Amino acid sequence: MKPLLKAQNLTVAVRKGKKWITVVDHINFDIKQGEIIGIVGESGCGKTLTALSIMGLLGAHAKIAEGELLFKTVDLQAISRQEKQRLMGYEIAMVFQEPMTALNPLMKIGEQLAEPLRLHGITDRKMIHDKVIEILHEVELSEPERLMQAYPHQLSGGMRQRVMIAAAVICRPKLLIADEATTALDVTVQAQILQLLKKLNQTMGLSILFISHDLGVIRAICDKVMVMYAGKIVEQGSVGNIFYHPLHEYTKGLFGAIAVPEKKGLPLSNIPGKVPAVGEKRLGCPFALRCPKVQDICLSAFPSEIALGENHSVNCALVEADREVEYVQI
Amino acid sequence: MKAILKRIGITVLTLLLVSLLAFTAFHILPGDPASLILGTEGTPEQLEALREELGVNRPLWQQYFSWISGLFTGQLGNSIRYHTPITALIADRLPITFTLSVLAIILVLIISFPLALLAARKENGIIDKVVSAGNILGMSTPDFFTGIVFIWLFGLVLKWFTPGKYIGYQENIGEFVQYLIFPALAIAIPASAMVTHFLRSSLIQELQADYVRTAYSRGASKGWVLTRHALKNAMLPAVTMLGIIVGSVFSGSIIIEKVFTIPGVGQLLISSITSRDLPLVQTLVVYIAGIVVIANSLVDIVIQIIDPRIRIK
Repeated sequence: MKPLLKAQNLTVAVRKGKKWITVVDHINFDIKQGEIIGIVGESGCGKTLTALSIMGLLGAHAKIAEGELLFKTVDLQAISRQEKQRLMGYEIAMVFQEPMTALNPLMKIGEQLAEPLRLHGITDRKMIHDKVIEILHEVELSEPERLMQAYPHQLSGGMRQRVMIAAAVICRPKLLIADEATTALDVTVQAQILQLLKKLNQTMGLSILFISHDLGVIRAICDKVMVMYAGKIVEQGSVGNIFYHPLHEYTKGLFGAIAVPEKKGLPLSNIPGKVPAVGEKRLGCPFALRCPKVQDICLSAFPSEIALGENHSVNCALVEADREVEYVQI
Repeated sequence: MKAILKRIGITVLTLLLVSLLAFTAFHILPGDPASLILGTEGTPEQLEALREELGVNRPLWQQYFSWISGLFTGQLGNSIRYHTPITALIADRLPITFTLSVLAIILVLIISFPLALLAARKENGIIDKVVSAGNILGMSTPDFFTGIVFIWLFGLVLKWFTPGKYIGYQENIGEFVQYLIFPALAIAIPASAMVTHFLRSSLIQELQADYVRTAYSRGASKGWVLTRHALKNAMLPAVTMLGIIVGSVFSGSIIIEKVFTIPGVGQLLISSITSRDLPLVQTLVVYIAGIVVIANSLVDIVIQIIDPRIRIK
């Protein structure tokens, strides 16, 4: 099946003074129709910039320096601003982290939900009203008529995020980018929002690019995961493969740092050191300086991608391509 | 509703305080209105009789209360200089100054909002830079100077109006407004520069907000984002400023009326101060303060209409 979104050698640079510094470094990934793909990694590793580059929301201080973004057959960089605006909110939509500030405080909920429809050519008031009511039912918000008259500050965090999701999917987009969409919510609400996204994925065939630093959340919702470190994807694969057979030392480190019942009583491990500063020059694997198994080869060049079956690949010099693993495809 | 009642209460209290201050200030000043009217020829008997007639020999608190009740009933007595009822004097001139100020404020809105929106559209763009330079020029040029330049340019060179040929609103309302446009513009320019400058930075700040990014993610254009999202949010601080502007527009009109020889409240105030027409001066002070206080209360009400978060409280 042809991918819905294809990123090839995607490279994003940010402006620092007069120089452009690479922060997302030649990453490749596909998102297929109906798939939920996660990007996981520490803060500052380039997750959000990857999302914003797809939306064309990088602003004046960041740009796509290299690579290609294909949505269906459309080259997202080649189209005009107007064409991009027709696509955004209509075929590709986004939900942000902060439901508190992502809604306009002076606009009624009803108007904010109607906005994507108006922006994409629907002017009939009755039709807009019906669609808004319908989507509010779909995101399981009760009393839609009253809610439409409310302002954001009158809603709880969970309700606001439901409204954000409703506004994002009201035009029935193909792809939804959720950037830390559940991070600001408390755990029970988080679970409800994840359930809702999963439901929309199934009922609407919506593909979701789900960005989070929270492995638990990624595991609950995603089909596939990409592990990002310092602007590079270091490992990607199905949730099963990544969670049960992590190969990259960074991925292993991430798992070591979460509390699970099996490790009760044992101290949690952490990854020593910190993410390299943006713009730090390096040749080899960006994780080499923190890697417990670092070898000379790691410092000389970034390792190429090693595919281990259809649903798992890793960029690590220590994992040999032909290695005899008791590897189980999940 | 409760908030509005509270607002009205505060307005009345402020005005009472202003009236008390004005009354006290003008009674601390040395000088006797009776000897001022009669000059050096007045005999002590005549002076005493006149003081009796003016009521200035009564205890101060009595004078204050009769003046305050006069403010409400219109029984304020006669002006010392004009020998006509104060109420009639002010009633004659208030519509002129009021029209001038309202025209100026309308001009401020017409000038500053589009300019601020254009400038904010592209931060540090050419339009933004031109507008910023204009703002500095506008803010640093005093309105009476602009007024003089206007008289020369529009009056003498272009002959769009005849300087000094003021036409009363009773005679021809159209020509009356036409004559007031230029002084109103002279007052409006520094005020517009201030509002433009303020609204522009407020808009640029709002453009960084998360909800703006949300709007872009829905496919909104910059124009849509500016007019439908950022403007309303950016207006909140700018509207607050408009309340202050009303005060400066009113004080601006005092000088401008002199420059354009408009027989408004401003001219009346200046002549009443120079002739020590105390009853008239203190009444004018309270009227002007009243207008500024009421304008600020209106601003508060407008903000409550715009911002639902304040309405709840």
